[in-house]
Amino acid sequence: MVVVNNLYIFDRHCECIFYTEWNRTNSPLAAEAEAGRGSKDLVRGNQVLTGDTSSSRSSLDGQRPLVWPTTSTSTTHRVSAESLRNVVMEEEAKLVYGVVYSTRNIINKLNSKDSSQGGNPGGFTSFATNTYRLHYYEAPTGVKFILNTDVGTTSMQPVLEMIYRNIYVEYVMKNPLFRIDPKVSTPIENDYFRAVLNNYIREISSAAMPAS
Amino acid sequence: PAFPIEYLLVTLTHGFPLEPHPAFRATEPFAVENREHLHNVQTLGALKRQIVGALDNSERLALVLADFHLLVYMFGLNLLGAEEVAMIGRVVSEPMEAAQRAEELMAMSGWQTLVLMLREAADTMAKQYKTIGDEAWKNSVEKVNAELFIFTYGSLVVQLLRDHEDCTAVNQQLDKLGYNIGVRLADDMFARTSLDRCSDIRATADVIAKIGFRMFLNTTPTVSLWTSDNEFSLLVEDNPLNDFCELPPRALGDGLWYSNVLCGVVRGALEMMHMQARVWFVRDVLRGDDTTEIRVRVERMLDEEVPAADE
Repeated sequence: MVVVNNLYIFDRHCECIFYTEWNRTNSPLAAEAEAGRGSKDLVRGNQVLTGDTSSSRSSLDGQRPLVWPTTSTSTTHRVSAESLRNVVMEEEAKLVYGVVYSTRNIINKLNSKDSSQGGNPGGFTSFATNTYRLHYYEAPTGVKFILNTDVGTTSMQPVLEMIYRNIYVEYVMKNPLFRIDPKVSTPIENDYFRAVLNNYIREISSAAMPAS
Repeated sequence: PAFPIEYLLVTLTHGFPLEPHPAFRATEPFAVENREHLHNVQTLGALKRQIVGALDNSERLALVLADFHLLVYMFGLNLLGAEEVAMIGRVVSEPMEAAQRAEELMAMSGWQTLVLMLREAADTMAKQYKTIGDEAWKNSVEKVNAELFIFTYGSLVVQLLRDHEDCTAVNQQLDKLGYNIGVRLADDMFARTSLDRCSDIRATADVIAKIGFRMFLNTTPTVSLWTSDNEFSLLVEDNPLNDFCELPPRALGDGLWYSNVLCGVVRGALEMMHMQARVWFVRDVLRGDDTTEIRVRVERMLDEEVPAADE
């Protein structure tokens, strides 16, 4: 049984353009959502949260998972841009990127295949701790996918490749409304992308564990 | 314990000769090893170019072999026997009789094996790209009606001409359009094939021509007219966009490049692969030239961005 916890997507400019979680305790998104719900009925990122007051969320069983980042244009209530920034989440994204970036660089250097253009010639695929395993995939254009799962899962490389080739390229890259700017990073706010991604992860999680 | 201090004075001869006669006197130096970050990579293709290009003239071969890094790379391939190595040593260290030695070298079997392998090796890379491109075209790409595409593009150019009147502005617009397409096309190509990053610009040029153009336009331009290792030309024999198209004299006179969108596409795709390039049209059959030529110059390699440090 593969338990997928969350997914980060970083673009070439080191910015997190997408984060979603399916199974996480003490998530900064859930905390923010609760705080928001306490004051008024806000729609956060096209979602209205109902009922759930526990701090741990597992959303593979019906509810749509929380997503980040969202820009102020995606909410229907006019709130100031300040209150929409989830600083905790931003910091977390930066930390995750820093860990992955440094690890990948060390591995490249140890293989003496480092270059100033990055890439993953050293072949960094995953690392594990007691509680989770982090899987990494870097596309040749520099987009980075980071997936956290339970410790038992050995390799999610095919899954990450699938996500890149058939979901990211299909619904994000080929979307003419997704602006690609060499200077500015745009977050992914695409319902199709989210839906297909959720379905795919749901399938993966409920299928039998793939032979490694 | 205290050691007795003694001094030993040694005279070392040093200095530079008044008339230097270096043994390694190659005029076109081979790439230095361990300089991948400068994108000057030692590849079999580069070795092939140096050696096979000089095989007809033993003087030239002797000159080409008088290059330390080339020799190190070649010996590292483990294809030459001890005899050949010794002969090469004599070629380099006896410049007066270098041509003769080079002739003797060319007769040796180990050397001939090496040349054969070089000829084969570099070619298979090119063949590989071609098969990847063909296979991608056949299986991985959804196809659309060519005429629909050509006519849509044509009407787009016509509309741009009506809006802008000035052909330079239209060229710029087409280039911008192409750029926006190109940045997405790079990811699309990687999604459909199992390619990885190219090691140098020559491989990149091959991939663009044999795989990129083939996959998306079903035409394979030839890569040629290399100057200085980072500038090359794509000679497109049959540009599908040119079908059914005829340029009016006003557009001809003003300098319209009808397929300028292709330049933008190449520029955008290269930028996604961390290469900043200038891409422009040199000749176009629509303007009466004999062939269509797009020139690409890779100005610099873009480094990967580093995350901003926290203060």
